[in-house]
Amino acid sequence: MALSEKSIKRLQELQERALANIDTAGRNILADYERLVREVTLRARMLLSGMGGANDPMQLQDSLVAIQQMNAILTEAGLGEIIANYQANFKTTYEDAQEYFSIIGVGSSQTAVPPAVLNSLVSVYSNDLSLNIQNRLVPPLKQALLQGAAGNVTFGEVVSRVAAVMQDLPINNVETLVRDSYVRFNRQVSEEVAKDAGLEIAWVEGPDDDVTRPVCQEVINFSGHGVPGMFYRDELEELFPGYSIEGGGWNCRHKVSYITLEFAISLGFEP
Amino acid sequence: MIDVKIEASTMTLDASVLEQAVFDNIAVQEINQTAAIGSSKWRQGIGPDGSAIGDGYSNMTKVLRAEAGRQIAFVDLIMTGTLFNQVLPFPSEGGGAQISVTSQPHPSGKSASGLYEELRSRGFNMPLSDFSREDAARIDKRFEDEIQKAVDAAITVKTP
Repeated sequence: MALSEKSIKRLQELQERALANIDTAGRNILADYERLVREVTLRARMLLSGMGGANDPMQLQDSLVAIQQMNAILTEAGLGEIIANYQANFKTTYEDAQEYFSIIGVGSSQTAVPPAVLNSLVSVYSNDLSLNIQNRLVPPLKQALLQGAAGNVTFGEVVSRVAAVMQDLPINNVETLVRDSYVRFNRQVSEEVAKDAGLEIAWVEGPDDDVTRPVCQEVINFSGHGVPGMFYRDELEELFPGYSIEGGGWNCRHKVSYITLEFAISLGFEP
Repeated sequence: MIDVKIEASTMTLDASVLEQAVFDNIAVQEINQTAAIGSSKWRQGIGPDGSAIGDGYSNMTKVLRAEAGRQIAFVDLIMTGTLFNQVLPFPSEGGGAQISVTSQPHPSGKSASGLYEELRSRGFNMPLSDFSREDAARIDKRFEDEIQKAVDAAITVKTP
């Protein structure tokens, strides 16, 4: 998805207009730029999140080239700040996907970035990686988590790094945050795989003991279809919004698995 | 004696229904289902072959788990839930699917995959480490059925 000549021309026109009408038309031009940035980055994001695996690395490269072109033009126009966040996010997402995938042994080269993981990375990093934590924590946490995922650092080291930038947060909260970030990311990956593979039924399993939260008890004992903890995937989201990714909250020990309707029926699921 | 006579003017073979991607997707589905069943057993303290994950927690571990509100009736190896949530079913490179334990850090100080292997080396009957016979039979049958279905769909015979 390299920028088309038309888009480049359009950007250049906008640049010229920006220089010529810096006072009166300034606000409109800025809005035009912002709109264009949004359009291009949205398209790039769709490409990134909709990749089909083995045949798509060129698309990914093209989208990065397009973003770089756009960045250069807008920076020259003196509007680099507008797109700094967008530009950084896509490159980081790409690198993160490559790194993460090489670690877990699935598609270690550029020729196979499974769309489920890429989608998960886009979703996780587009939203707030850490629940209820200030924005300033997210970049260092993300970096530490990815280094942790690479197997280069231990859990304790990840916690220390995050704690160093978050000194007002008790250490046990940082530990929970790090642990939950991994679990949340893994749940996101599972859900993406399930969507891609056509697995319609969500099956929530895990301990039911003294420390199980009421919401988790409600979920794992839900018997609307004859088998405790089994839902249609959409139904789980509707009845318990966010549960499939966030679980019952911090320190949740429950796991969401996905299966086909036919297999669920063989286990007693009543449609 | 039965005399069979086939009168067909055209026979069409649609190879697209036999595409690798179709079977890859079935592999992903089956790996997810195997992992789901394995997780269900794990939660109940049962390993892949149907026997208990371990012989029982030591007295010291029982005290610690009880204080933390965890069950002590059987070995489930679920304390924080981190390891439980780091066993993921996944499409594998080049098609097919696999169950992986991620290498993300675990509160124990090891990677999740390292901890998993260590527990196994210490004699725990680690969940999902091998497919059960039931899983293998189910997967075999699924592929057999799907291949038959695909072959049936691929060949169309039109009689005059």
